[in-house]
Amino acid sequence: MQSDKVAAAAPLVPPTPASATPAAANAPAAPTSYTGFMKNNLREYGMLISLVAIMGLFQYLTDGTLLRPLNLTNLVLQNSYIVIMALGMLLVIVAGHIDLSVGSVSGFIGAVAAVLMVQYDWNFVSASLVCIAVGAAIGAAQGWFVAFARIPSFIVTLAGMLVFKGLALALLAGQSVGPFPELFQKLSSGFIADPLEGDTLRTTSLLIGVAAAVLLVFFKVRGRANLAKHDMVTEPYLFFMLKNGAFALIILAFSWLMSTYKGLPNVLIVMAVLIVAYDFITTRTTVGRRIYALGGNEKAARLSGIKTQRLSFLTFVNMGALSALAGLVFAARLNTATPKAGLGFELDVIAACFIGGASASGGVGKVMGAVIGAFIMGVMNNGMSILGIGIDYQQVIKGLVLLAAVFVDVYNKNK
Amino acid sequence: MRDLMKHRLAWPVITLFVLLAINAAFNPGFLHIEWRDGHLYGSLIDILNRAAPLMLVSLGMTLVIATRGIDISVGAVVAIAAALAAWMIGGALVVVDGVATHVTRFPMPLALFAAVAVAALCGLWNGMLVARVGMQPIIATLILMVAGRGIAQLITNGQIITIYYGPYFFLGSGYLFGLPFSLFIVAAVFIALYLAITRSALGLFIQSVGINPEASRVAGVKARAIIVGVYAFCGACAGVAGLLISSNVKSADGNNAGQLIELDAILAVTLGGTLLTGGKFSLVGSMLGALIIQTLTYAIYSLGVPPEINLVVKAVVVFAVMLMQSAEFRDSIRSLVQKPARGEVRA
Amino acid sequence: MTSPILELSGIDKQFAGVSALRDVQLRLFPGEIHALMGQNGAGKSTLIKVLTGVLESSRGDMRLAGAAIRPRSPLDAQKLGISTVYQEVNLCPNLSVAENVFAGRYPRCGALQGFRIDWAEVHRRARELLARIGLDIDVTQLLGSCSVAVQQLVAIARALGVESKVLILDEPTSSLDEDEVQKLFAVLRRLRSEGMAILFITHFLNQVYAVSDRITVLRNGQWVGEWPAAELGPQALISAMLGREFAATAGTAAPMAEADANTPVFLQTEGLGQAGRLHPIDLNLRAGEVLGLAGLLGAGRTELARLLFGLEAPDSGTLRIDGKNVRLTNPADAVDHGLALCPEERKTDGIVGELSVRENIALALQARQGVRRFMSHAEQTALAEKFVKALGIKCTNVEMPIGLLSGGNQQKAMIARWLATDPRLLILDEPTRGIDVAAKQEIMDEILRLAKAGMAVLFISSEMSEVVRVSNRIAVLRDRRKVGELPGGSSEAAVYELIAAEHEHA
Repeated sequence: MQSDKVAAAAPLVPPTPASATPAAANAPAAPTSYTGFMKNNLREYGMLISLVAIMGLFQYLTDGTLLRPLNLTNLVLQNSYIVIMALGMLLVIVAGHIDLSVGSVSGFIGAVAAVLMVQYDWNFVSASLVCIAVGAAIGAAQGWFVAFARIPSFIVTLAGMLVFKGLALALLAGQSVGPFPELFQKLSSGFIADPLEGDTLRTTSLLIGVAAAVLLVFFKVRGRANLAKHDMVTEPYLFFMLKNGAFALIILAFSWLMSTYKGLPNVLIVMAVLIVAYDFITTRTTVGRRIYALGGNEKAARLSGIKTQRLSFLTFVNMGALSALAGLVFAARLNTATPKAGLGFELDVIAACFIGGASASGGVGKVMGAVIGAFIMGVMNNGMSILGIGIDYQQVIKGLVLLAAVFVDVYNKNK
Repeated sequence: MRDLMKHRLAWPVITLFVLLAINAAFNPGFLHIEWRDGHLYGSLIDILNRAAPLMLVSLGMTLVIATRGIDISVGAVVAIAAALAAWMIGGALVVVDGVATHVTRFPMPLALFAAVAVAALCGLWNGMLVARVGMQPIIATLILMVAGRGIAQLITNGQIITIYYGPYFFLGSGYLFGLPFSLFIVAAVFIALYLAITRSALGLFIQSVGINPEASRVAGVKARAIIVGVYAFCGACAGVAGLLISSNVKSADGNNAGQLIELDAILAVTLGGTLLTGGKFSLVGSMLGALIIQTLTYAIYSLGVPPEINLVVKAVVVFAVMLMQSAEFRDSIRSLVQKPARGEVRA
Repeated sequence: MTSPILELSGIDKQFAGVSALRDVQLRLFPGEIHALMGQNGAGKSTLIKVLTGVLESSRGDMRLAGAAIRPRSPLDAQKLGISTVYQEVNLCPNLSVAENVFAGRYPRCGALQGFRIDWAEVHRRARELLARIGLDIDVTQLLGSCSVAVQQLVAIARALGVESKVLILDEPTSSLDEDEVQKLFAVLRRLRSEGMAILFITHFLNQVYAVSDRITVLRNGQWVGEWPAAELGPQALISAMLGREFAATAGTAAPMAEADANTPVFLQTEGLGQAGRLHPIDLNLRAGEVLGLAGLLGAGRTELARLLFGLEAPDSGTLRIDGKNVRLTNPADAVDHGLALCPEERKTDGIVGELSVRENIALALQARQGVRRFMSHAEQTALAEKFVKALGIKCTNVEMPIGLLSGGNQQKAMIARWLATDPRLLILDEPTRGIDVAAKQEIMDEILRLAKAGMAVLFISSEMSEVVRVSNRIAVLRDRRKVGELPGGSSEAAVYELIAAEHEHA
């Protein structure tokens, strides 16, 4: 029978780049060319390159102020909340939802912390724990509405934004409440203890940085060796070296710069621990991968036995807890809790996730991406402040960056 | 009587009456209207006046929601319109013929037109992102929500622009035939919209696109154009609302103008009976919803409840309305309340 | 003779009093490929839903390896050993191939008891499973970047991973090209030789004969029979599916004459096709002519209709209306050129549920007139009532929501909608589905009336008797291509012969 060659296509499945033709699909994984690999992972490398480029741009525009140790420290301290919340927001977005209330919730928790520690003289450890529990409870409430009552997440969290803004105002009776106990302040403005302190160098911090860089390289190399054992290496060696070499160098340079000032801030350690933990969870644990399955195809996930409703619920609980932590960090830094705390945070956090490669339709997004996105937002915030660019322009620019990020996402989807 | 209850607007009307009653109970003189200073005066008039901007935004939001979309940027658009009008009018004091008069930087009609036109452009931008680029409405309008405040601040140069121009104040605080002028604006927009919806195919097309976009497309309806148009109109409404607000407070604050009006508008629309899932909509319902919210705010004030709680109460009402509209929730309530009949097989 | 691995007997299923399955039986043996055949509405999908736990049967017995089972959900069925690969592959495109194979059942490792995924193991075992079906690809690539054919194979590998005893493939070849179909069949044969029981639902005749051992036919919710494929020829199969010997003699009393060759050709396609959906087709239609489009389910008739109406974009060929080349990018364009399409799926593509009958009927005409030239309420009512009367639509009044009408009346309202636009070409895709006999007759007569008045009609129907009765010419489609044309008045037998004939050359 004459068979007209109908071009291979995938009409019933979301449009995909028809890369693997049947013939090639049956060939063993050949070493991919550089350009091929680049094209496939453009998004990932693109973000890293963008971060470096933006840092370079602002470093130039600010005549070198950006990377001064003092400024770098401030950058980290001022924008830590974005990173912390981006970790939670990423999971929410990957699961296919969104959380607009994170700013208000973190402001509210800051208020709770203030009331507990300042007005009721609670010890800061128990107060913090209670605050995080309250945050988790808030997340649970919102998560219940979204996951079980099936109300669209943007409505639930938009209303939540309102509720907690109001409650924060009420709790603080319109005032700013502070100052916090000293130990608590250390959370945000403290630096790690330095037993090996030299004259001008916080040696411990530097050593930690070196250790981190070495560990990074070690784990990456080991991971690659593992892959090689199973004959599954896809990343060309050159890129592998460049990427991880760059990372290691950045860590070294960063810790050097920091150690010439006051050393590594406490909050940085907290962030680092969280980042490693969440990266691990999303790439190597069943819970994490299930969230991705849920976001990719809810029906298929359910058919695989994944408890999708419970998972969605949990992502909101997690988000609530992280918002609370961010709220504590922010309040500790300002040393007061104000009714205006948290205003606009959600936009920074959501933008960070989208810049980092998360997709509005769910199922896609990496923790490292969100972190890079958060750093990009942080650098932009910081750089624009140094340059004295008005808050108004900053908003516009941030909006445009978010637009670009989402645009790329939609464009990729429609290709 | 039962038929009357079944009417779509039954619940909004009842709610409004209940709220008015509560207000009247706690506030002697609430229902009192008198003629003072050449116009009607009283709490009810006050409520109507303050509800005007929300009524306008709700009208625009109704159409957007009817097409299964959402627009959370309306607050930012309000701010932009207010800022632009304020900047263009300004109001410098000059001496003309020995009399100190206020003059505008640009003629007022031009300023008004520009403000609304720019607001409509913002809406158009949203519509293009949703209909042509294919972004989800929440994300598309989130972008303008972020950038829009910045744009408004740019126009006002980060300050609060105070407007010194009598005729402008007329918009928001003036009276015509004893009633607030803002009501006439709202009435005009409402009537124009109502005519457009009922005297042209717009109402039919919007509902059709919201209920079944694919079937509408097969039937030859230009769904994309409808969606873009609806967002543009929503923007324009927000623009006019911005004019009213800035006229009322005699200033334009890029940061605070229109703050949280988006949630109020969404709430008003859903209270009025339009479902978030799109389809049939009710303009009158949305107007009633806006009045309910305003009356509720007034009630909270007069009860002496702190303003922060206002936000909480509103949010609780949103939740309640959402839950009532959620089919899953109603089913679970129903199954709790009604025990399954004996022998009936559970699906 | 081994005993069946899966045995269904006496299966009944009712929906609101209407019987979807009545006393249906099925036997599946290990190590066989068994085709389940039947026309639209025969009950195939209902039976599969019962098998896979989506629905529960009202009565009947299901036995797997001798033990009685009653799956309550797809997950249940999977755990019992019945896996399904759907037409629209139900996997997660954002996860890797390996991950999809193991989603929800990851091999674990590490001290954090049960939380940490052993990726090395995942990848190794995924590759093993894929190797079992002869697929050697990079298991770390995203599933979304693989072709549909590969995705299906991954779904099959997943089924192997859960150690299914029964593999159900629901219309697996609809989106595959010839090469990919052959590869799939090779995989199925391999699995068969390993003892897997495979239930294969399709409507492509040549595929049925290429790969199945036995065939079960359902018709109108009832079991017709079970035969070894070698013993059931295509003609016998078709008559079993349709339920009667089709008349060998010429059809109706007054066969339709071919349209006068002098009337101008209204619409013409040359090589019009869409990758993966329709092979290039040549067709022409004159004014006042009724062209019947005959073919079995899945032959490509609806795909052709959608191409003609601008709902899909063609990848090849040209479309000419009144001699001029046109590009239709959306239905509004098509309507402007005088086309009308009454779609097959009235629920998703047809009715706007909450709007009234009046609004639904007036919608297309209003859309063509544009926003401003609005038909007043009175005009719309008059229009709607005119058609309600003409087509016998049963409704209390034209204001009632169309969603409340019965299926048949909804269908009539859809036809009314398009007749209201006074088109030059009316494409009817299964217009008589779900309509009672008398109403069918009315619609057929209406079609003839319209054609006499100069309207061209493209008539798609699974009821062959209708097609031969009312068409001036019959274009026959099969397996997504046109296999020939017959003059009006041909017998049904002639049409089926043309459809079945191709099989011999496969």
